[in-house]
Amino acid sequence: MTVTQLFNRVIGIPFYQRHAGLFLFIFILMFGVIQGSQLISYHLTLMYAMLGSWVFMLVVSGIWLLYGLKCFQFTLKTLSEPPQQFLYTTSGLPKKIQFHSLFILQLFIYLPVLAYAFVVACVGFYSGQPAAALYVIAFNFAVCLFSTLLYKKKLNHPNPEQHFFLATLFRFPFRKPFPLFFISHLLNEMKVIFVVTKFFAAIIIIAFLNGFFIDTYDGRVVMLGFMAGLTAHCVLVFEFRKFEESLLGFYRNLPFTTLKRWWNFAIIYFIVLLPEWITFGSAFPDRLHMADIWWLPFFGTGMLLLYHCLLYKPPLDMERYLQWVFGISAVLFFLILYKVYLVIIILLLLLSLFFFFRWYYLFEQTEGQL
Amino acid sequence: MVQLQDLKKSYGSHVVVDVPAFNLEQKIYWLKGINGSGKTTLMKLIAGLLPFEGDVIIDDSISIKKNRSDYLRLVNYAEAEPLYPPFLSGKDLLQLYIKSKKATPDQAQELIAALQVGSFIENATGTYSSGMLKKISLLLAFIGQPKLILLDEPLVTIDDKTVPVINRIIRDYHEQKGVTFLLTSHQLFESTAFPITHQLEMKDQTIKILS
Repeated sequence: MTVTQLFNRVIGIPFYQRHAGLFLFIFILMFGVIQGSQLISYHLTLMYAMLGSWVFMLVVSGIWLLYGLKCFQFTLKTLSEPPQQFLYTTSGLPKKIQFHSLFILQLFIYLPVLAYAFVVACVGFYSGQPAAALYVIAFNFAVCLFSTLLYKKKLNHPNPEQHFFLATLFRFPFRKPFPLFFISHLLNEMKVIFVVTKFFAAIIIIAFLNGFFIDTYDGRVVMLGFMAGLTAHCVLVFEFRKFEESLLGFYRNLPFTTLKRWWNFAIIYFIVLLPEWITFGSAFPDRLHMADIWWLPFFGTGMLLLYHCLLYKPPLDMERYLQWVFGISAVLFFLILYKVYLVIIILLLLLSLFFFFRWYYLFEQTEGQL
Repeated sequence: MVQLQDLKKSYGSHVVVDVPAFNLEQKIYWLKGINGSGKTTLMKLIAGLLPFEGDVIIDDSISIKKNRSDYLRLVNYAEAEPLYPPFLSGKDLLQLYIKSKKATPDQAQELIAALQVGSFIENATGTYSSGMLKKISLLLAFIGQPKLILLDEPLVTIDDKTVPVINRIIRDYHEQKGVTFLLTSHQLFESTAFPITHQLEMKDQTIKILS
């Protein structure tokens, strides 16, 4: 086995295995929500928008950089783990071979961005925007180059006492009640999912709020837009359940009532939706009327809470979960059209309570679920 | 007294624990058994971490199935290999336990001093060694007013200086507060450390009394 193959086997393949949920989520957002016949024109429009607006290009660069940081953090974390410390023996290899192997590793784990960026650059050259196309190439090359140099530095100067990735942890500077455990996890371990989710949710909600689809104001359109934005949170909710099962096992031994536990999750999702509350607040009263605004917190929190509670029914399986998510969206779509908001909210809350009380203490993770 | 009633845990057709009836008196029990015999699973069932058939009743009337939060206030558990989110500090965890187990800050301070965790309790647990994590999990297991404490391999990764401290805490909790202990350990407990009343063995999916 060559050194390149060794790095890919120990770091590259586990990277894709551990982030399968993230990739599925991005794949669904990028390719699953658009009809097949419109897929190419949709992506071409997106690419022209990037190439034609430096502001949009910078936002996209921010997302690419975030993904690059995810790759970087994962690699350094893996190198710091005791089972992988045998990789430090590669520091004895010629520097050129070491750099080459690490650069290939970086290209491998950064491949999803590279593939998309390559198409963007080609479209840029073809459509006569070489400056933007060159920027795309230079930016992603720089991300790969700097990451590789830092991996190389880490391999050649191992310091087991220095927990680099921990130094970058986000920590609230005050006592954390249980709901903030999840928010801390979101801001530490789920940055990419968090930013991508909020980015897509914001685009959808702002488009619906600004009447991109119909000229006259209709509260149902806002609700539908919010529902679509909430659906984009489904992977975030799934990751929260995985976090709960993998690192918060001790919480089941704490003497909280079942209702209190359910309430804690309601608080968590209310906090997760803070950016949406701000968006809606800024649209009030011109683009969002009083009669519609006060349903939204109950609707948003209730919908994510139901997603969460559905996941207590074993097994913790993404495929089955996504079927539920799309089924719920279909039912809600019709209920929103009939404008029965109170019925929707009562249904969401009662169903989430039912699933929580029925399955919370019966759930047990089995091998291979997490 | 803790009563295990028709306690059964299976994975498909494979039975892991099957205890028709067993009572734990107000004593210190050492649960032995070979690897994979079901010791840890039994502890997790009693601690409320895993679903099971049957019931566990404490003080004659408080059932894990019917009065779960009251039951969990009386039963504390420390895992053999504790896992916590790396961004939380020991203090974050301690504060959650103090609040939920209705402990006093004084009790927490005494345990912090005894287990000598004050120097790192404010740091993120991701920076801890396995011994430091173990100390934090033991500290959390002693918090509140439990009547039953389950300690899975309490001495593993603990330094020699701290072992007598843990032994003393176990003895004090048992003698002064009447706490029942169920301990598992592959290491020998020092005979002078605390009075091991019964030695039990997990064998053939059930509990057998050795002495």
